[in-house]
Amino acid sequence: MLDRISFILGEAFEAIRRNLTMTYAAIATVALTLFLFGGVGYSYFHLNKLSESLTGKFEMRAYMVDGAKIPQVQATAKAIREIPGVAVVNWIPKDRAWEREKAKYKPEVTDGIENPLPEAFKIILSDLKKADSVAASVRALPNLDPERGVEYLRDEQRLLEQTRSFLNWLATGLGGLLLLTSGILIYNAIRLAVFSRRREARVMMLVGASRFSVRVPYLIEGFIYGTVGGVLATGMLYAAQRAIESRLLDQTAFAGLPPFPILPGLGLLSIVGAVYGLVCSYIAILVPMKP
Amino acid sequence: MTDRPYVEFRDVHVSYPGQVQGLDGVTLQIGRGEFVFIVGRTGAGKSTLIKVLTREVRHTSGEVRIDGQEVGDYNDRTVFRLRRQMGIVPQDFALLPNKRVWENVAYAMRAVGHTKREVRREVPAILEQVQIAHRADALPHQLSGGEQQRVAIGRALINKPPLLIADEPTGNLDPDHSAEVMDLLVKLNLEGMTILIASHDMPVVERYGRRVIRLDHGKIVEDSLARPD
Repeated sequence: MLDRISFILGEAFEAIRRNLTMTYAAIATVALTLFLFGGVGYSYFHLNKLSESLTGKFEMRAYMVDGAKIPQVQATAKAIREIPGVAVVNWIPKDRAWEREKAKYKPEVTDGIENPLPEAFKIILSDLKKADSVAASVRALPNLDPERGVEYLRDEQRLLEQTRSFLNWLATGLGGLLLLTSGILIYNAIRLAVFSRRREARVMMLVGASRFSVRVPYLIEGFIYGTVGGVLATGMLYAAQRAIESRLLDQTAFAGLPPFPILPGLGLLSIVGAVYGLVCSYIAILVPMKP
Repeated sequence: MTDRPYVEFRDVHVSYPGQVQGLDGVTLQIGRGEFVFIVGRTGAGKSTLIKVLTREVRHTSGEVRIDGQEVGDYNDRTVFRLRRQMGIVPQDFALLPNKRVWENVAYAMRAVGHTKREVRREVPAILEQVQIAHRADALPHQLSGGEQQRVAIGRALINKPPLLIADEPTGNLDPDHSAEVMDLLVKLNLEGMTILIASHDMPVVERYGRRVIRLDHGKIVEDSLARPD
């Protein structure tokens, strides 16, 4: 059995040795593809976590018309609480808000000024993605100030959403293109290996070697391309995360990303690469080999 | 022992795309231990007949049996079992140019599942059998055509097959080397192996006086028995 395995592995490594240029190209492209997918996936995951953690910070303010009565305030608060995407609604009475404002300034600045603030609500969202629809629903309520209406950090929220959709686009567009390219390169590498070892394959078939013995070395070759590509991609991701963390993120409010999960990453990307390499090489050897 | 023919064709047709008939109703029987030449002009169907036996080509209709087993029953996954029952010597020898003589035989043995120990034990005996042991360390390009042919025959013997099929074994050889190769095939035949040779080398065919099956346009036009020794 060991003898058999050593022969088949020997055949696979011989095929790789004869096609070094294609081997490097295929491994590099698989590594780049998995690096991109892994990097985008990792960033997307953290951006989601970040947006979840920021949800409480992205509060919304809604202002009522001047002279709103307590029953109107209560009815409006109830209506806001029923809007999907709203987690908490706090009423900020105009008197208390004005007291806080006055405390910020010297008494001579605010003395004699009548409270200009309306009754207001602080709204905390349960889902940041629903900020626009919550704002629209709140605006549609009666008794809200038509000018001030609703205020929230729309631009910041949109930036976060845009970043997420860009990452999505990057993963599906560029990643898909790279996935296709690496697949073609693995396919070509295996076809070249089949071509460069056609004499050996012919001899094997002439003397009655099983289909398994003839073809498995090529599957192993694709498996090796994918696995090595996955390992390299993990290393590249780890290095990229360290570089980004040390050069950029420590200057921002989001400093201190969790450490890159090197072992799960290695396992996941290697398995994905290995399966992909196997599938591509299997497709490559579907073309019949005749003695 | 049975009286069943070892190789049997019954009304075998092979059609290639474009209405080209490779074989056209071939019926023949070859007994165990026979030595048979298949002759005919280029395109007569010699190679097709051999390729049907090795199942490189599928017959369109009819029956082809080796030792009672229908060749058409083998599929791409199981055809290796058929090929282990025969030694195939292709016209171009199909030697691996970067491997030495012994390695060519050893590689084939390893490919069919022999262990390294078996290879070490059996390769010298095979090389002795085909009288090429003295060139065991030579590369194919360092050998004469006859020597290369003997290596190819040696490689065909690794499964100890009861049937040896050779396509134009003397086609590229001078008369001396042709004689060497033919003498080797006769020797194997005397040891009990059934030998089937496709050839258009009529002087060689006539010299050895064995059974001759002549093909023309895919049909058997002559089947002459071996000359009594």
